Amino acid sequence: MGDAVSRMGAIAAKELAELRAAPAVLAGPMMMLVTAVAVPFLVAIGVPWWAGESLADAEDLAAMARDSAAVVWRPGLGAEAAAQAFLLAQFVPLLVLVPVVGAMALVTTSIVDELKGRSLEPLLATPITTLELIAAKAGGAFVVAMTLLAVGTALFAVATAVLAAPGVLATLLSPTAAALLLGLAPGAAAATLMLGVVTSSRAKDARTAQQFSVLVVLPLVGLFVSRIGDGVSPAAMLTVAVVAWAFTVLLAIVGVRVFDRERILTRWMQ
Amino acid sequence: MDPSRDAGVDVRGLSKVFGARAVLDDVSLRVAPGEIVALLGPNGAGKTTTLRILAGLITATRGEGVVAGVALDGSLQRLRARVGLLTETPGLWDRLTVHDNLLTYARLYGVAAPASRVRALLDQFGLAGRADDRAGVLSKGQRQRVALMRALVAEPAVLLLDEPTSGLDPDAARVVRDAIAAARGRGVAVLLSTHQLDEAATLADRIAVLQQRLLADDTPAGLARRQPGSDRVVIDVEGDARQWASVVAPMATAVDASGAVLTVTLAPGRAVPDAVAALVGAGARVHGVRQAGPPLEAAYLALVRRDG
Repeated sequence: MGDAVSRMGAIAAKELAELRAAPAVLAGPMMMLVTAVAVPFLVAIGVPWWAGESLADAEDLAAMARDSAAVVWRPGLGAEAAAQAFLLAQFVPLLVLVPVVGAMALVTTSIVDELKGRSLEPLLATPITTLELIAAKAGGAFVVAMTLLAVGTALFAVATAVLAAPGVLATLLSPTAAALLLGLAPGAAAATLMLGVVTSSRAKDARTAQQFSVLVVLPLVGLFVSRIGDGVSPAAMLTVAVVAWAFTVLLAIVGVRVFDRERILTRWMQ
Repeated sequence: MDPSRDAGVDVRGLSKVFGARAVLDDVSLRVAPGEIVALLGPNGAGKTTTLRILAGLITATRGEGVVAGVALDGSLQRLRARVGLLTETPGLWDRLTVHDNLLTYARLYGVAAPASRVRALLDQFGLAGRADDRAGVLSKGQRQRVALMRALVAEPAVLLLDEPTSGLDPDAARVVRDAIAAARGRGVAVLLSTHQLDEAATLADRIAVLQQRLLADDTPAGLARRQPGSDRVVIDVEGDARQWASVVAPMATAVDASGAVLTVTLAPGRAVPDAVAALVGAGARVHGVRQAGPPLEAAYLALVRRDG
């Protein structure tokens, strides 16, 4: 057991060292992060300010805000703040896509680079097991993906506290947001990682693997995220998170099978 | 089984089939500790497949044996822990430093003091000054040295080398060959695949010729002697060679003397040192001795063409 942990630690450390040496792989996830943080404030605060109008005057918006399950109403919250909170809450699910995109980019690049650079054969010739190798690569990417999520969430919270009306931040700290960011986002990222392992072990380049995985993952995540504004309960969100983790385990089993040394060396590295 | 073979390679009847394509057929090989065996064969002969089977990367369709004390049908993880493999391409992590490449592998193999082991290797291979350079900026020869260090980092009992000097300049190739010879000196069983017959002849104790099946397994000299005419030697002497023809006649089936050159066809059971000793004993000054028959290349080509 100790040996296995040591081997996985060696690979995880190597993955992080490679990331430090070539951070460009994070360009896509960083763009996603910037988008997920900047667009909501542009819409909820920037555009009304630029137009010289107040959200409090938009009666339809106020009515939608009152009916929305995504916002926890607090006594004394003004109409402007309520409308801001409603709009910002619509964008919180975008943060889920940050670790999903990050996980995908990291794990596919890592595995495909090993295939293309022919560094996989000497690596597979060591005592590391397939499960350890996949766990180490996915584990390192998961840590980075969760860091991106934490950074995105923190930036979102700080921007809300600084730019939005008083009371908006407290309104956004809802069970829905917690289930989304602490339950669904890690589950979706983990499932994406394992899907990335499976696709990249059969892909000729990272872009192909990412495109294939994104084709599967993003519509599913996007579909779910689009329903959140309509009032998906925290319990339902956590249920989906559990399903995502179950899917992760299933994909891990598939990953170990498709990452078979002989197939990789004789069919995919020729 | 001979216990001394436990730390080396001793496999019998290895076969490997990919789909409907047979790559290896009934190959038996032995490499003793402290011995270098060169695996010769044309492209597609099954050399890399053989090395991958012995390294525990892929499994044989049929066959059995022991590599580094571990049965091929036993724990391949344990086998991989005791074997060093130099792959055909170095396969370094280019974005990592030389030191970090080696340190990662030392940790993967569970080396007790990984950092000091890496330092020792860097010193031994003359790359201590490049330890903090990224592997991607190294020359081809330096990359190959790092890859060889990686294969040696866990002090393996068996070293498997896939074309270790392919594409290297003479100086870099010499450094790699010296390292391989040093590994033999430490008792490591070395099996290397190569296309370079000179390298095989000078470095290896035995040569195994592979073309899907094992065509020959012999010493370099023994392999060359398989060719007709390989028992002919040319001896350069001082003065008129004719005066020395009678000295070597008892150990030859034919002697030709011309100018300062004796061409001797050795009798069965006789070897070059016998002829040279007789000449020197009779007072001749011998300036040089060389094989008159076909060199190793001819013997190798005859084998693979006959089989092909």
